[in-house]
Amino acid sequence: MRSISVIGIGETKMGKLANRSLRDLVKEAGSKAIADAGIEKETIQALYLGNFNSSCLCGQSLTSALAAEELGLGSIPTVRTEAACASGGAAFRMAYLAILSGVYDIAIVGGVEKMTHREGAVVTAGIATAMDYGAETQAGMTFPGLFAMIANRYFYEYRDVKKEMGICAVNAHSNAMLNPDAQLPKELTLEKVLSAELIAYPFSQYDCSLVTDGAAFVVIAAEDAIGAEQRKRAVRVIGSGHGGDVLRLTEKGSLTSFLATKKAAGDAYGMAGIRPQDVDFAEVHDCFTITQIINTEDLGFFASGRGGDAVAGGITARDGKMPINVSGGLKAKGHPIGATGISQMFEVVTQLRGEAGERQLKQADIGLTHNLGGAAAACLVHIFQGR
Amino acid sequence: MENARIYTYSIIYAAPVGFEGEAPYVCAILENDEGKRVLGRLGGYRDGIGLTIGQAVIGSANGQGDTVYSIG
Repeated sequence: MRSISVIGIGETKMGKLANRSLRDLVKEAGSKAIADAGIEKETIQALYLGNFNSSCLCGQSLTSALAAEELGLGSIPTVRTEAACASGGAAFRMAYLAILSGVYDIAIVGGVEKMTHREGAVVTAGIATAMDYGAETQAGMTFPGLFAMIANRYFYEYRDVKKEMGICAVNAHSNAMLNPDAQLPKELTLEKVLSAELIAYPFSQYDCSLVTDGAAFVVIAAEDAIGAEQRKRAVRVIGSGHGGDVLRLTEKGSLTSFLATKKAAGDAYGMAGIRPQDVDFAEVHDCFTITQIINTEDLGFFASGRGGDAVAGGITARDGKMPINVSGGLKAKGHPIGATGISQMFEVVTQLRGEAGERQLKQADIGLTHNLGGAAAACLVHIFQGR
Repeated sequence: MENARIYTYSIIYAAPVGFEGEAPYVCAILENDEGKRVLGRLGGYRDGIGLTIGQAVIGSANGQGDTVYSIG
Protein backbone atom coordinates (compact mmCIF):
# COMPACT_ATOMS: atom_id res chain seq x y z
CA MET A 1 0.00 0.00 0.00
CA ARG A 2 1.22 3.52 -0.81
CA SER A 3 2.56 5.58 2.08
CA ILE A 4 0.72 8.89 2.21
CA SER A 5 1.64 11.95 4.25
CA VAL A 6 0.49 15.42 5.09
CA ILE A 7 3.27 17.68 3.81
CA GLY A 8 1.79 21.13 4.38
CA ILE A 9 -0.69 22.80 6.73
CA GLY A 10 -2.28 26.23 7.07
CA GLU A 11 -5.19 27.83 8.88
CA THR A 12 -6.70 31.22 9.63
CA LYS A 13 -7.40 32.59 13.06
CA MET A 14 -10.81 31.29 14.15
CA GLY A 15 -13.51 33.65 15.32
CA LYS A 16 -15.96 36.36 14.47
CA LEU A 17 -14.14 37.76 11.45
CA ALA A 18 -16.49 40.49 10.30
CA ASN A 19 -14.31 41.82 7.48
CA ARG A 20 -13.24 38.49 6.01
CA SER A 21 -15.04 36.85 3.06
CA LEU A 22 -15.16 33.16 2.13
CA ARG A 23 -12.58 33.93 -0.59
CA ASP A 24 -10.35 35.71 1.86
CA LEU A 25 -10.38 32.85 4.36
CA VAL A 26 -9.71 30.23 1.67
CA LYS A 27 -6.86 32.26 0.21
CA GLU A 28 -5.08 32.73 3.52
CA ALA A 29 -5.33 29.13 4.76
CA GLY A 30 -4.73 27.53 1.35
CA SER A 31 -1.71 29.71 0.53
CA LYS A 32 -0.19 28.98 3.93
CA ALA A 33 -0.56 25.22 3.38
CA ILE A 34 1.05 25.36 -0.07
CA ALA A 35 3.91 27.53 1.21
CA ASP A 36 4.38 25.22 4.20
CA ALA A 37 4.61 22.21 1.87
CA GLY A 38 7.30 23.96 -0.14
CA ILE A 39 5.94 22.72 -3.45
CA GLU A 40 5.07 24.45 -6.71
CA LYS A 41 1.31 24.87 -6.83
CA GLU A 42 1.33 23.50 -10.39
CA THR A 43 2.07 20.05 -8.94
CA ILE A 44 -1.29 19.94 -7.12
CA GLN A 45 -3.63 17.68 -9.10
CA ALA A 46 -6.98 17.96 -7.30
CA LEU A 47 -8.78 19.97 -4.62
CA TYR A 48 -11.30 18.70 -2.07
CA LEU A 49 -13.19 21.19 0.08
CA GLY A 50 -15.30 20.53 3.17
CA ASN A 51 -18.00 23.18 3.35
CA PHE A 52 -21.27 22.56 5.15
CA ASN A 53 -23.55 25.44 4.57
CA SER A 54 -22.31 28.39 2.54
CA SER A 55 -25.20 27.75 0.12
CA CYS A 56 -27.54 28.89 2.91
CA LEU A 57 -25.37 31.30 4.92
CA CYS A 58 -23.39 32.97 2.11
CA GLY A 59 -25.52 32.38 -1.00
CA GLN A 60 -22.57 30.48 -2.45
CA SER A 61 -22.38 26.89 -3.73
CA LEU A 62 -19.58 25.24 -5.73
CA THR A 63 -17.11 26.62 -3.20
CA SER A 64 -14.49 24.07 -4.30
CA ALA A 65 -14.15 25.85 -7.66
CA LEU A 66 -14.06 29.17 -5.83
CA ALA A 67 -11.19 27.86 -3.71
CA ALA A 68 -9.18 26.55 -6.67
CA GLU A 69 -9.67 29.83 -8.49
CA GLU A 70 -8.65 31.89 -5.46
CA LEU A 71 -5.53 29.78 -4.94
CA GLY A 72 -4.56 30.03 -8.62
CA LEU A 73 -4.70 26.27 -9.18
CA GLY A 74 -5.96 26.55 -12.75
CA SER A 75 -8.42 24.01 -14.10
CA ILE A 76 -7.76 21.09 -11.75
CA PRO A 77 -10.72 18.91 -10.74
CA THR A 78 -12.45 20.03 -7.53
CA VAL A 79 -15.28 18.78 -5.38
CA ARG A 80 -17.06 20.05 -2.28
CA THR A 81 -17.93 17.45 0.35
CA GLU A 82 -20.85 17.79 2.75
CA ALA A 83 -21.29 15.57 5.79
CA ALA A 84 -22.47 18.32 8.17
CA CYS A 85 -19.81 18.88 10.86
CA ALA A 86 -17.72 16.04 9.37
CA SER A 87 -17.46 17.73 5.94
CA GLY A 88 -13.76 18.48 6.43
CA GLY A 89 -12.83 14.98 7.54
CA ALA A 90 -14.80 13.58 4.61
CA ALA A 91 -12.89 15.80 2.17
CA PHE A 92 -9.61 14.47 3.56
CA ARG A 93 -10.80 10.87 3.25
CA MET A 94 -11.78 11.40 -0.42
CA ALA A 95 -8.35 12.84 -1.20
CA TYR A 96 -6.63 10.07 0.73
CA LEU A 97 -8.51 7.34 -1.18
CA ALA A 98 -7.81 9.00 -4.54
CA ILE A 99 -4.06 9.09 -3.81
CA LEU A 100 -4.11 5.56 -2.40
CA SER A 101 -5.71 4.35 -5.64
CA GLY A 102 -2.94 5.94 -7.68
CA VAL A 103 -5.20 8.37 -9.54
CA TYR A 104 -3.38 11.38 -8.00
CA ASP A 105 -0.04 11.90 -6.27
CA ILE A 106 -0.61 15.30 -4.64
CA ALA A 107 -3.88 16.95 -3.60
CA ILE A 108 -4.94 19.89 -1.47
CA VAL A 109 -7.74 19.48 1.06
CA GLY A 110 -9.46 22.33 2.81
CA GLY A 111 -12.44 23.34 4.81
CA VAL A 112 -14.15 26.69 5.18
CA GLU A 113 -17.18 28.18 6.87
CA LYS A 114 -18.39 31.76 7.18
CA MET A 115 -21.17 31.97 9.75
CA THR A 116 -21.01 34.93 12.12
CA HIS A 117 -22.28 37.57 9.68
CA ARG A 118 -25.79 36.10 9.89
CA GLU A 119 -28.15 36.63 12.81
CA GLY A 120 -28.34 33.81 15.36
CA ALA A 121 -31.73 32.52 14.24
CA VAL A 122 -30.53 32.07 10.64
CA VAL A 123 -27.38 30.26 11.80
CA THR A 124 -29.44 27.97 14.06
CA ALA A 125 -31.84 27.19 11.20
CA GLY A 126 -28.88 26.58 8.87
CA ILE A 127 -27.29 24.13 11.29
CA ALA A 128 -30.66 22.43 11.85
CA THR A 129 -30.69 21.36 8.18
CA ALA A 130 -28.36 18.53 9.27
CA MET A 131 -31.11 16.89 11.35
CA ASP A 132 -34.24 15.16 10.01
CA TYR A 133 -36.54 17.88 8.77
CA GLY A 134 -39.85 16.06 9.12
CA ALA A 135 -39.25 14.22 12.39
CA GLU A 136 -36.93 16.57 14.27
CA THR A 137 -36.80 20.14 12.93
CA GLN A 138 -40.58 20.39 12.62
CA ALA A 139 -40.99 19.14 16.19
CA GLY A 140 -39.09 22.19 17.47
CA MET A 141 -35.77 20.44 17.98
CA THR A 142 -32.40 22.16 17.95
CA PHE A 143 -28.95 20.55 17.85
CA PRO A 144 -28.34 21.46 21.50
CA GLY A 145 -31.73 19.82 22.19
CA LEU A 146 -30.78 16.58 20.41
CA PHE A 147 -27.46 16.26 22.23
CA ALA A 148 -29.09 17.31 25.51
CA MET A 149 -31.38 14.28 25.10
CA ILE A 150 -28.27 12.16 24.53
CA ALA A 151 -26.72 13.60 27.72
CA ASN A 152 -29.86 12.92 29.71
CA ARG A 153 -29.94 9.31 28.55
CA TYR A 154 -26.25 8.99 29.42
CA PHE A 155 -27.03 10.25 32.95
CA TYR A 156 -29.72 7.55 33.20
CA GLU A 157 -27.63 4.65 31.88
CA TYR A 158 -24.39 5.54 33.72
CA ARG A 159 -24.37 8.53 36.04
CA ASP A 160 -24.87 12.29 36.10
CA VAL A 161 -21.71 13.83 34.60
CA LYS A 162 -22.86 17.45 34.53
CA LYS A 163 -19.85 18.45 36.64
CA GLU A 164 -17.41 16.56 34.38
CA MET A 165 -19.03 18.21 31.34
CA GLY A 166 -18.25 21.52 33.02
CA ILE A 167 -14.62 20.48 33.47
CA CYS A 168 -14.46 19.71 29.72
CA ALA A 169 -15.48 23.33 29.06
CA VAL A 170 -13.01 24.75 31.60
CA ASN A 171 -10.15 22.66 30.10
CA ALA A 172 -11.05 23.66 26.54
CA HIS A 173 -10.99 27.39 27.26
CA SER A 174 -7.79 27.03 29.27
CA ASN A 175 -6.09 25.12 26.40
CA ALA A 176 -7.24 27.81 23.97
CA MET A 177 -5.21 30.39 25.90
CA LEU A 178 -2.06 28.84 24.44
CA ASN A 179 -3.40 28.70 20.88
CA PRO A 180 -3.02 31.93 18.90
CA ASP A 181 -5.66 30.75 16.38
CA ALA A 182 -8.33 30.15 19.03
CA GLN A 183 -11.60 32.06 19.15
CA LEU A 184 -12.32 32.14 22.90
CA PRO A 185 -9.21 31.89 25.07
CA LYS A 186 -10.25 32.55 28.66
CA GLU A 187 -10.00 31.22 32.17
CA LEU A 188 -13.37 29.93 33.33
CA THR A 189 -14.28 28.74 36.79
CA LEU A 190 -16.24 25.54 37.23
CA GLU A 191 -18.62 27.40 39.55
CA LYS A 192 -19.48 29.87 36.79
CA VAL A 193 -20.04 27.08 34.26
CA LEU A 194 -22.24 25.04 36.59
CA SER A 195 -24.39 27.99 37.63
CA ALA A 196 -25.09 29.23 34.08
CA GLU A 197 -28.65 29.50 32.81
CA LEU A 198 -29.94 26.47 30.90
CA ILE A 199 -30.63 26.60 27.15
CA ALA A 200 -31.70 22.95 26.75
CA TYR A 201 -31.73 20.92 29.94
CA PRO A 202 -29.12 19.77 31.04
CA PHE A 203 -27.06 22.11 28.79
CA SER A 204 -26.11 25.73 29.33
CA GLN A 205 -24.26 27.72 26.69
CA TYR A 206 -21.00 26.42 28.20
CA ASP A 207 -21.87 22.92 27.01
CA CYS A 208 -22.06 24.09 23.38
CA SER A 209 -19.34 24.70 20.78
CA LEU A 210 -18.94 28.07 19.10
CA VAL A 211 -20.23 29.74 15.94
CA THR A 212 -17.08 30.50 13.98
CA ASP A 213 -15.62 31.88 10.77
CA GLY A 214 -12.45 30.19 9.60
CA ALA A 215 -10.61 28.01 7.13
CA ALA A 216 -7.96 25.30 7.30
CA PHE A 217 -6.03 23.48 4.57
CA VAL A 218 -3.57 20.62 4.27
CA VAL A 219 -1.50 19.33 1.36
CA ILE A 220 -1.51 15.53 1.15
CA ALA A 221 0.85 13.51 -1.02
CA ALA A 222 2.16 10.03 -1.79
CA GLU A 223 5.64 9.72 -0.35
CA ASP A 224 6.89 8.19 -3.62
CA ALA A 225 6.00 11.45 -5.37
CA ILE A 226 7.71 14.02 -3.13
CA GLY A 227 11.26 15.24 -2.67
CA ALA A 228 13.67 14.91 0.25
CA GLU A 229 12.79 18.42 1.51
CA GLN A 230 9.08 17.52 1.84
CA ARG A 231 9.88 14.15 3.41
CA LYS A 232 11.70 15.79 6.33
CA ARG A 233 8.59 17.35 7.83
CA ALA A 234 6.03 14.92 6.43
CA VAL A 235 3.54 13.44 8.88
CA ARG A 236 2.31 10.03 7.78
CA VAL A 237 -1.36 9.03 7.68
CA ILE A 238 -1.23 5.57 9.25
CA GLY A 239 -4.96 5.02 9.65
CA SER A 240 -8.16 6.23 8.00
CA GLY A 241 -11.72 5.20 8.82
CA HIS A 242 -15.15 6.39 7.76
CA GLY A 243 -18.32 5.29 9.56
CA GLY A 244 -21.98 6.07 9.11
CA ASP A 245 -25.26 5.68 10.96
CA VAL A 246 -28.97 6.49 10.57
CA LEU A 247 -30.00 10.15 10.48
CA ARG A 248 -32.91 10.08 12.94
CA LEU A 249 -32.08 9.84 16.63
CA THR A 250 -35.07 7.53 17.26
CA GLU A 251 -33.63 4.91 14.90
CA LYS A 252 -30.28 4.55 16.69
CA GLY A 253 -29.65 1.40 18.69
CA SER A 254 -27.91 3.37 21.44
CA LEU A 255 -27.77 7.07 22.29
CA THR A 256 -24.79 6.72 24.61
CA SER A 257 -22.33 5.17 22.14
CA PHE A 258 -22.06 6.14 18.48
CA LEU A 259 -21.90 3.36 15.87
CA ALA A 260 -20.36 5.71 13.29
CA THR A 261 -17.40 6.37 15.60
CA LYS A 262 -16.98 2.69 16.47
CA LYS A 263 -16.84 1.77 12.77
CA ALA A 264 -14.49 4.59 11.77
CA ALA A 265 -12.19 3.99 14.75
CA GLY A 266 -12.13 0.22 14.26
CA ASP A 267 -11.10 0.61 10.63
CA ALA A 268 -8.49 3.28 11.40
CA TYR A 269 -6.91 1.30 14.26
CA GLY A 270 -6.92 -1.84 12.10
CA MET A 271 -5.19 -0.11 9.22
CA ALA A 272 -2.62 1.46 11.55
CA GLY A 273 -2.08 -1.81 13.41
CA ILE A 274 -2.28 -0.05 16.76
CA ARG A 275 -4.48 -0.11 19.85
CA PRO A 276 -6.26 2.88 21.39
CA GLN A 277 -3.69 3.01 24.21
CA ASP A 278 -0.92 3.56 21.62
CA VAL A 279 -2.41 6.98 20.77
CA ASP A 280 -0.58 9.80 22.60
CA PHE A 281 -3.20 12.55 22.18
CA ALA A 282 -6.36 13.28 20.23
CA GLU A 283 -8.50 16.03 18.83
CA VAL A 284 -12.07 14.77 19.26
CA HIS A 285 -15.34 16.30 18.09
CA ASP A 286 -16.63 18.19 21.15
CA CYS A 287 -19.66 19.82 19.49
CA PHE A 288 -21.12 19.50 23.00
CA THR A 289 -19.37 18.62 26.26
CA ILE A 290 -21.19 15.28 26.59
CA THR A 291 -20.05 14.39 23.06
CA GLN A 292 -16.41 14.71 24.10
CA ILE A 293 -16.99 12.24 26.94
CA ILE A 294 -18.85 9.74 24.73
CA ASN A 295 -16.24 10.06 21.94
CA THR A 296 -13.36 9.20 24.25
CA GLU A 297 -15.23 6.04 25.25
CA ASP A 298 -16.13 5.09 21.67
CA LEU A 299 -12.51 5.61 20.60
CA GLY A 300 -11.48 3.07 23.24
CA PHE A 301 -9.49 5.47 25.41
CA PHE A 302 -11.78 4.77 28.38
CA ALA A 303 -14.39 2.13 29.21
CA SER A 304 -18.08 2.83 28.53
CA GLY A 305 -19.50 5.08 31.21
CA ARG A 306 -16.03 5.97 32.55
CA GLY A 307 -15.17 8.93 30.31
CA GLY A 308 -16.39 11.31 33.01
CA ASP A 309 -14.08 9.71 35.60
CA ALA A 310 -11.12 10.32 33.27
CA VAL A 311 -12.06 14.00 32.95
CA ALA A 312 -12.48 14.35 36.73
CA GLY A 313 -9.13 12.64 37.28
CA GLY A 314 -7.29 15.11 35.05
CA ILE A 315 -6.35 12.42 32.51
CA THR A 316 -7.74 14.40 29.54
CA ALA A 317 -6.16 17.71 30.60
CA ARG A 318 -3.19 19.18 28.73
CA ASP A 319 -0.77 17.73 31.29
CA GLY A 320 -2.71 14.48 31.71
CA LYS A 321 -1.91 11.00 30.41
CA MET A 322 -4.33 11.30 27.47
CA PRO A 323 -4.58 14.98 26.45
CA ILE A 324 -7.82 15.70 24.62
CA ASN A 325 -8.27 18.81 22.46
CA VAL A 326 -5.11 20.62 23.43
CA SER A 327 -6.00 23.11 20.65
CA GLY A 328 -9.07 24.23 22.62
CA GLY A 329 -11.36 22.06 20.50
CA LEU A 330 -14.67 23.06 18.96
CA LYS A 331 -15.62 24.51 22.32
CA ALA A 332 -12.91 27.18 22.50
CA LYS A 333 -10.69 27.07 19.43
CA GLY A 334 -13.95 27.30 17.50
CA HIS A 335 -16.21 25.30 15.19
CA PRO A 336 -16.10 26.62 11.61
CA ILE A 337 -18.20 23.63 10.61
CA GLY A 338 -16.76 22.57 7.25
CA ALA A 339 -13.23 23.48 8.34
CA THR A 340 -13.31 21.74 11.73
CA GLY A 341 -12.06 18.33 10.58
CA ILE A 342 -9.09 19.91 8.81
CA SER A 343 -8.36 22.28 11.68
CA GLN A 344 -8.13 19.22 13.97
CA MET A 345 -5.45 17.85 11.60
CA PHE A 346 -3.66 21.21 11.68
CA GLU A 347 -3.26 20.77 15.45
CA VAL A 348 -2.23 17.12 15.32
CA VAL A 349 0.36 17.72 12.58
CA THR A 350 1.70 20.77 14.44
CA GLN A 351 2.11 18.69 17.62
CA LEU A 352 3.70 15.75 15.78
CA ARG A 353 6.22 18.09 14.17
CA GLY A 354 7.04 19.53 17.61
CA GLU A 355 6.05 23.01 16.46
CA ALA A 356 3.23 23.76 18.91
CA GLY A 357 5.18 26.27 21.01
CA GLU A 358 3.77 26.84 24.49
CA ARG A 359 1.14 24.13 24.10
CA GLN A 360 3.59 21.50 22.79
CA LEU A 361 2.96 18.10 24.35
CA LYS A 362 5.96 16.17 25.64
CA GLN A 363 4.76 12.85 24.26
CA ALA A 364 3.53 13.34 20.70
CA ASP A 365 4.42 10.46 18.37
CA ILE A 366 0.94 9.27 17.38
CA GLY A 367 -2.07 11.62 17.21
CA LEU A 368 -5.70 10.99 16.26
CA THR A 369 -8.46 13.17 14.82
CA HIS A 370 -12.15 12.36 15.31
CA ASN A 371 -14.71 14.35 13.29
CA LEU A 372 -18.44 13.69 13.77
CA GLY A 373 -21.32 14.80 11.52
CA GLY A 374 -24.90 15.61 12.50
CA ALA A 375 -26.35 13.64 15.39
CA ALA A 376 -23.50 11.12 14.99
CA ALA A 377 -24.66 10.05 11.53
CA ALA A 378 -21.17 10.30 9.99
CA CYS A 379 -17.70 9.95 11.45
CA LEU A 380 -14.14 10.24 10.17
CA VAL A 381 -11.18 9.03 12.21
CA HIS A 382 -7.60 9.59 11.08
CA ILE A 383 -4.39 8.54 12.79
CA PHE A 384 -1.09 10.30 12.15
CA GLN A 385 2.49 9.47 13.02
CA GLY A 386 5.40 11.87 13.18
CA ARG A 387 8.98 11.21 12.08
CA MET B 1 -48.32 4.36 20.08
CA GLU B 2 -49.72 2.51 23.15
CA ASN B 3 -47.94 2.40 26.52
CA ALA B 4 -45.44 5.11 25.66
CA ARG B 5 -42.77 5.94 28.21
CA ILE B 6 -40.05 8.58 28.27
CA TYR B 7 -36.81 7.14 26.79
CA THR B 8 -35.05 10.51 27.12
CA TYR B 9 -35.99 14.19 27.05
CA SER B 10 -34.78 17.78 27.12
CA ILE B 11 -36.46 20.99 28.17
CA ILE B 12 -35.91 23.56 25.44
CA TYR B 13 -35.39 27.11 26.80
CA ALA B 14 -33.71 28.63 23.71
CA ALA B 15 -36.28 27.86 21.01
CA PRO B 16 -35.70 27.99 17.24
CA VAL B 17 -37.59 30.32 14.89
CA GLY B 18 -41.29 29.56 14.88
CA PHE B 19 -41.28 28.16 18.43
CA GLU B 20 -40.10 31.22 20.42
CA GLY B 21 -43.41 31.89 22.17
CA GLU B 22 -43.68 28.30 23.35
CA ALA B 23 -40.47 27.97 25.40
CA PRO B 24 -39.85 26.35 27.76
CA TYR B 25 -41.20 23.15 26.23
CA VAL B 26 -40.30 19.48 26.46
CA CYS B 27 -38.98 17.43 23.55
CA ALA B 28 -38.79 13.73 24.23
CA ILE B 29 -38.08 10.40 22.66
CA LEU B 30 -40.85 8.03 23.72
CA GLU B 31 -40.63 4.25 23.60
CA ASN B 32 -43.33 1.57 23.75
CA ASP B 33 -43.19 -2.05 24.94
CA GLU B 34 -42.03 -3.25 21.52
CA GLY B 35 -39.07 -0.83 21.54
CA LYS B 36 -40.56 1.45 18.86
CA ARG B 37 -39.51 5.06 19.41
CA VAL B 38 -40.95 8.40 18.36
CA LEU B 39 -39.62 11.90 18.88
CA GLY B 40 -42.01 14.68 19.65
CA ARG B 41 -43.24 17.43 21.90
CA LEU B 42 -44.62 16.46 25.26
CA GLY B 43 -47.54 18.60 26.38
CA GLY B 44 -48.49 19.61 29.89
CA TYR B 45 -45.07 20.84 31.05
CA ARG B 46 -44.93 23.52 33.73
CA ASP B 47 -41.76 24.94 35.29
CA GLY B 48 -40.61 22.82 38.20
CA ILE B 49 -42.63 19.71 37.28
CA GLY B 50 -40.66 16.50 37.81
CA LEU B 51 -39.80 14.41 34.75
CA THR B 52 -38.03 11.06 34.82
CA ILE B 53 -36.85 8.60 32.23
CA GLY B 54 -39.14 5.58 32.22
CA GLN B 55 -42.17 7.62 33.25
CA ALA B 56 -45.42 6.75 31.41
CA VAL B 57 -47.06 9.45 29.29
CA ILE B 58 -50.59 9.81 27.96
CA GLY B 59 -51.26 9.54 24.23
CA SER B 60 -54.43 10.87 22.66
CA ALA B 61 -55.70 11.33 19.11
CA ASN B 62 -55.46 14.90 17.86
CA GLY B 63 -58.31 14.50 15.38
CA GLN B 64 -55.97 14.68 12.36
CA GLY B 65 -54.84 11.07 12.49
CA ASP B 66 -51.83 11.75 14.74
CA THR B 67 -51.22 10.95 18.38
CA VAL B 68 -50.16 13.73 20.74
CA TYR B 69 -48.48 12.95 24.02
CA SER B 70 -48.61 14.69 27.35
CA ILE B 71 -47.30 14.33 30.88
CA GLY B 72 -49.79 12.50 33.08
